[in-house]
Amino acid sequence: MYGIVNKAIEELVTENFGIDKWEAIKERSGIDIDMFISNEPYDDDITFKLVGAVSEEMKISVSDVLRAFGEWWIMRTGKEKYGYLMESGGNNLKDFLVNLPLFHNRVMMIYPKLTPPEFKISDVVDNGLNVHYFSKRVGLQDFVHGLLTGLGKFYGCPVNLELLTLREEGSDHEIFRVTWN
Amino acid sequence: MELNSNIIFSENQINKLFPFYLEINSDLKITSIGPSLKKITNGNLVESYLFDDFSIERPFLTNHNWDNLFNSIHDLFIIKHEKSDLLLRGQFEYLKDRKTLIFIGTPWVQSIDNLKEKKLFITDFAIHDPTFDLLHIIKNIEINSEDIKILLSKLKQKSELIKQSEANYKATLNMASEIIYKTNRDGYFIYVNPAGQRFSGYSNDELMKMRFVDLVRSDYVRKTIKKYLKQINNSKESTYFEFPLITKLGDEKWLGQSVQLNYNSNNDFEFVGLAIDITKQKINEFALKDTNRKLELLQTLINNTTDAIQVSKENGQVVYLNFEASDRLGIPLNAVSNYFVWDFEKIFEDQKAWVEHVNTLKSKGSIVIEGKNMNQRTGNVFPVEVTVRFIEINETGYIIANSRDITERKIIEENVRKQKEKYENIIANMNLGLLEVDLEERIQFVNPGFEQISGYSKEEIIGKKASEVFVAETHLSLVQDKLFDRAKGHSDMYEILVKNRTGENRWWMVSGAPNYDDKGELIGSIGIHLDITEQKQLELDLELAKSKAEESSKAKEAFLANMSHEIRTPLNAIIGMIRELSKEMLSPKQKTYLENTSVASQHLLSVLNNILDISKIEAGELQLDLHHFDLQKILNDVKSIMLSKCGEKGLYLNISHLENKNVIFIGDSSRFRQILLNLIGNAVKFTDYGGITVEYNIEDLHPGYQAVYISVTDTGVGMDESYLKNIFNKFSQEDTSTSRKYGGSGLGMTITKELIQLMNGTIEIKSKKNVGTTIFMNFLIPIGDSTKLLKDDMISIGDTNRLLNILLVEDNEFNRLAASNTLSHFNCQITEAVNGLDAIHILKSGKIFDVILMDLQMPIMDGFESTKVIRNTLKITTPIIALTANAFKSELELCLNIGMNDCVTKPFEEEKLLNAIYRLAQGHSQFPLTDAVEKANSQQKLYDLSQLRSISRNDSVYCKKMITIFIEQSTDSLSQIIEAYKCKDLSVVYSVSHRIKPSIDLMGIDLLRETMRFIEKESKDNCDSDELKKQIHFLQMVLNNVLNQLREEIV
Repeated sequence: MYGIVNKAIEELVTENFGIDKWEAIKERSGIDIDMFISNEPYDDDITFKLVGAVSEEMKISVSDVLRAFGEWWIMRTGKEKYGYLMESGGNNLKDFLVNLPLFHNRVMMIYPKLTPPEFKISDVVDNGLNVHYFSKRVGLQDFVHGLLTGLGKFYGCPVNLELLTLREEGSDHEIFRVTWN
Repeated sequence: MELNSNIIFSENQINKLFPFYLEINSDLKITSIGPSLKKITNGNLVESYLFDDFSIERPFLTNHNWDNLFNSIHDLFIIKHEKSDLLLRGQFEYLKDRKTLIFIGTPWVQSIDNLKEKKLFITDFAIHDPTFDLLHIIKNIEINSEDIKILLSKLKQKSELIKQSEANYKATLNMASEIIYKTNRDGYFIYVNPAGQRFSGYSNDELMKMRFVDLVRSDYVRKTIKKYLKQINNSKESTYFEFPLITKLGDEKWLGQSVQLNYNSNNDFEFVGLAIDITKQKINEFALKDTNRKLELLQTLINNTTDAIQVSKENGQVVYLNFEASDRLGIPLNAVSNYFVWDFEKIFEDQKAWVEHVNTLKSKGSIVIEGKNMNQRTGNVFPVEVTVRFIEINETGYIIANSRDITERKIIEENVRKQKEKYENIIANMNLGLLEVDLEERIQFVNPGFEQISGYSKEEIIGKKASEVFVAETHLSLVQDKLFDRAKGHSDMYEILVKNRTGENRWWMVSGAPNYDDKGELIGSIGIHLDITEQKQLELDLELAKSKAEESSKAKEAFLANMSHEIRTPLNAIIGMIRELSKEMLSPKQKTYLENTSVASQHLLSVLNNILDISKIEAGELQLDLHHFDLQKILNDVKSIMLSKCGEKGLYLNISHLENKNVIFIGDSSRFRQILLNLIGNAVKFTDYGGITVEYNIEDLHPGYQAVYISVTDTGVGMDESYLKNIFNKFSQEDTSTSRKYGGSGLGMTITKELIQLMNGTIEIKSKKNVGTTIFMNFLIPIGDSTKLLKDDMISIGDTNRLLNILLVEDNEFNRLAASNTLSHFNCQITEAVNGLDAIHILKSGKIFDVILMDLQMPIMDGFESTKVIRNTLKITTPIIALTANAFKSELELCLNIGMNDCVTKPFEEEKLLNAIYRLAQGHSQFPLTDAVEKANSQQKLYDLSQLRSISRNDSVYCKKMITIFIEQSTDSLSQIIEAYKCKDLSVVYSVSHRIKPSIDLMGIDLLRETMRFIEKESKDNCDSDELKKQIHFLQMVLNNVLNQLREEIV
């Protein structure tokens, strides 16, 4: 993961619960890195440890942490850091999601050390579509869940999400059914 | 739209591929426009003039016309949509078929956020167009820049913090009163804070070159190294030790330090020390220990002293007794406080006495009482001296009594009293006078002895000035000198002339010494006086007798001198006349008479000469005339003289002859001749049958010297052993009949022995009555040079080609005649003067002479006076030869001193006189006599005492003592060496020669220097040889001579 991910986790914690909580979490995770650099790749393990530590420290499930983090990523990291880059994905949620595979394919070229997931869109209707999530990483579907929720909020179009397939259940990828009003 | 015959894109494809394209015709009107550009321009610009809505930023076109655009199709174009300010980056291409120019480009924005205003989405860009991704990258760079800014700011903050904490840390170290330092593993300082620098006195630079142990006191260094090695070995993190250190100024300071073992980034360990100055604590600690030790010592002393010490309070209660006091009083130490002083001191039974005692002490501080103590345990009673003191401690008064057993002191005092009494008795009863005076010489004490010798009673003279009472006026300055000496602490003895009470002159011997009081201050002087008037008188008498004896001795010498003159002068005439007579034609009878007369006169001359020799010997004036001579020739001369005498008695005379031996020596040949003639003459005299054998041998013993052995053996009457002992005594003859039978003066052997000794020789006589006598002589004589022999064949004056003018000054007519006769045969013109004045007249007349012959004793003007006039007044340098019958050295020296040139003894031998005249007339100005006198004066000593004198700093007493010891020891040593050599015991020869070698060197006996070393070495190597024998013999000869000379030296 690039440092910006870990950084986002840090910001999520510090902004919501204060710097002490973050120090406690960092101590708990056993990670002794003063500052994450956004464009520097870090071991995935660090991110998982941080997430685990947040879960333990805040006494919430990893799943909830990842969902919250997904939302945070869109609402704060995307919006504030990337600015129009986020918006340029599309004029609305649907356009954004439809453009997501193209967008993500461009991203892969920009972050050569990234092991990016791959998205596909299907079953597009006026108020919904299916997001196919292919990843070499395991256990981040809740993060994707949070991202999709966040996007809904970003475009002022709250979404309902339904996980149609799960890798844990034998599928080769996860499919989220995204619907909105 | 068909762009190429091969590739044809539909409008839809063109819109997808180049969504920002723009096509214009030759009128510069827009013919078609891409969808994304259309979105931006927000309207249909088809048919509108290009430059209404767009401007060209690059390239620079002079005119906005078709041709310019057309000609620039190879350039990069930046065109601007004026309304939206959007820049497009791309290029124009000419579409030949359509005759239009098409612009293919994409928006050029600085940030993705610029797209927001234009509402451009990702889908507005062609999929192949990387512009969007570039904007994404730029965004990432922006984000990263932000991160880096934050990071830098954080780093800056941290760096500030570090700086701050470093500054704090440094300030802490600098301000710390504790010493903080760091050393590497070898103990070299790598940091020392200012407190450490102040403590040690060394600067930081100096300390950085030092190790911790360099500061440690030397006796602690090993200990220190051991402690920290142990800390390393046991990996003990921290230790605490205390050390004495020596600061740069050399002061000793103590340090208590906690040392931590740290590992640095190189994983090498370092010592970090935190130390404090504990010098004061240590000093206190040592002082405390010292005080405790002293207290212990004091306690031990008090308990072990033989004094009884008792401490009580003012109320009489006892508070302390030491062991001795407890023992004496019989009070156990643990029950001391139960007692009051009156429980054991009877005098205080009435407690008022105690109160009085305490009051006395309070006013006086302390008192000393003598009394008696009884030891309660042993019952012994002994005298004591009790010192009682009152002291106050913390407002409580204490009485301390120190009782000392003074039994011994009492015994000593008694002894001193008895001694004093004894000495007082001695002083009172001694026959010596004791006198004590103060610094002003006032009499303080006299004993009865002094009263007796002075005649004054004590009462008469005490307080009076001693010198005024006793001392003769002539001796007052002596007394002053002595007072001065006493003030300097000197004691001595002196004699002084005084007057006793009756005014009689007395001589006192005084032994005076300075008198000091108990403090060593001079308070006067003390003298013991002995009346030596009688001894003094004896001394004066003795002195008188001595001077009389000396006068008489002088008279004897003068008598001898006069007698020799009185006898020699006529004898001179007699012999001269006989000599002249014998030259005349005589009858045989006359010839016999003349010969007898000649023998008699020669005998008389010989007796006279012997008497003169003895006189010279007695006067210490017998001297040798050293010159080069031929010994063999002397023996031949002697033989030729003695042969006729032997023939007369029918005796044989054998004299050995040595071949191939050096026989030229340096010595007095005439004395050699005299010795031989005397000995052979004696032998002839005392031998009636048989004859005389003279043997001699020469041995090389030392470079430059030879040993000469001569023996004279006769077959004569021999001598008794008892006589032999006295043979060298003057006037000794075996018995009165001898002198009657054989004649002789009895002086010959005495003279012979003296002469031999003078020549460093020895003489020994072996004789057997009626068998014969052998006389052995040994000499050690310097080797001479044959070219320097005195010429015997005198060059006759007659050989000179001219007539010599001689002034003969002689009062005796016979002598004038004899001399004139003799000289007239040798081509001499004689002018006669009858006395000195006559001679002066002749010389004043201007007559020139070649030589003046001057008699010494003459009437009117003697030879001395006239010589002075000739030399000093007339300034005449004509050689003057003295003619004297007096052969004494003193007179000869006088001759030389007044300016005479030579001296001939009367009666003169023709040869000698002619030789002297010839030599001087020929201009030989040197005076042979001078030579002889000098040589005689420098009588060759075989030793040199300069080293001994230098060692003793010219202390003559010491030198004399050393010489005496040398004589004693070397006499013994020499006999030991000779005896041991006879027994062939070379080890003894070695040890003795080794022992005496240094003394021989010290005495400067250079002749024996090499000899001693040779004997020592050869005997050590047990190497007996002829050479060793020779050298031992040489040692014996030389050492005997040296010993003889040294004996004279110390006499």
